Amino acid sequence: MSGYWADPEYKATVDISDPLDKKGLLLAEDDSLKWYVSGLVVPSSKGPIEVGTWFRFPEGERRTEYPFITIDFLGINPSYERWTSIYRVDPDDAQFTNNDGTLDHTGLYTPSVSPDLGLDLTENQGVSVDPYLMYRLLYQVTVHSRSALHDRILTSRFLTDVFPPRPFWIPVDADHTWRRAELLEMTPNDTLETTESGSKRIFRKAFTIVMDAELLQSQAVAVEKARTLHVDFYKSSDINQPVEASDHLSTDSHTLGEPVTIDLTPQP
Amino acid sequence: MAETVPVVGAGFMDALYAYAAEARDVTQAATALGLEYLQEGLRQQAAQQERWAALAPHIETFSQDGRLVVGIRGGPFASEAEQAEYGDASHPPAPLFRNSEQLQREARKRADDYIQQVMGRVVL
Repeated sequence: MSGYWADPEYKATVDISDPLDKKGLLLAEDDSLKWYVSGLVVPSSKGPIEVGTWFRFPEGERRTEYPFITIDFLGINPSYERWTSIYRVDPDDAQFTNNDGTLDHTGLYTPSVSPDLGLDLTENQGVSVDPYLMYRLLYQVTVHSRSALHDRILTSRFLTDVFPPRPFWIPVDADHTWRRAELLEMTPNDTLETTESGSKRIFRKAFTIVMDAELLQSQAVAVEKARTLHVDFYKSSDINQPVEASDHLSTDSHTLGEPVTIDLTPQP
Repeated sequence: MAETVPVVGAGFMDALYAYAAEARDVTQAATALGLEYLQEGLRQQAAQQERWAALAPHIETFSQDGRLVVGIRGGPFASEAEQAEYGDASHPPAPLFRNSEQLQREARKRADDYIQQVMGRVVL
């Protein structure tokens, strides 16, 4: 076995030894989306009911309490139209905010993993990173209710507040970014549940949303900054002829940092 | 009233109409090419998925309410397709149509390439 991935010195971009950290592609987005749709409350004759959120359906041994929300990951697609070849590597330009919108820090980051690159740079070092590649994560968020009232209340909240008819933003705690998201469609999917006591109606509304994510092409590396730049001008009437030292326009000795006056008057 | 003098030559409008007709015909042919590619691609993908295999032959492209649609229309297959696409209590969603972005991109490219080949530039 050979190759980059077999290099014993290579370390994974993200350490998933502790998945409860919720850091890494899909881990961070799943966690942020669940947080985003959680906390809804609906009224009932027995008092307010907090709407639970699950990935896929609740396990059989859990008591299913309606209404509840399920999240299904549908797929990931590259967003080719947003793949650019220019990436401005300037640690001071990017601004990252907290969930409440206050500025947290400036700099570069590792997508879905960390709010910074984690590189210890010296004064003479900069950073080189290949452009992050934009991807679109497809999710289905389904609202399940037993009563028409709860179904309408939650559908109304989802269409006006949770997934409004305009691009909205979901905060991701893992890397302190805000991810653009859009509602693609809302599909009614009401059905009947047959039990021993008879059939019961189940109101279901499936919301399909897309959420942005960025993937690394390679790891960021520290590079030495160029501290000096020395430019010499030479004249040559024939570019195919080797340049002689005598063609050096400026034969005056000069030291770095001192301006050099070059006479560009064409010579006969 | 002064006599009006035509600014545009007599043959110009005829040529313009002929060009528009050609563009229309080429666009329709390109669209049909792209739709055929999309339909066949979806059928092949469906045939490889357990929940969609029986429904694959019923996937088609059609016009509805003035809009171009790809899917399964009417009958029991439509209901079964909806359950497969969006899932239910026993099965997770198997999003065949919602995950067809790559196929749609390839179908669009086929149509664009056809127009480029015939007319020398993309009209769509």
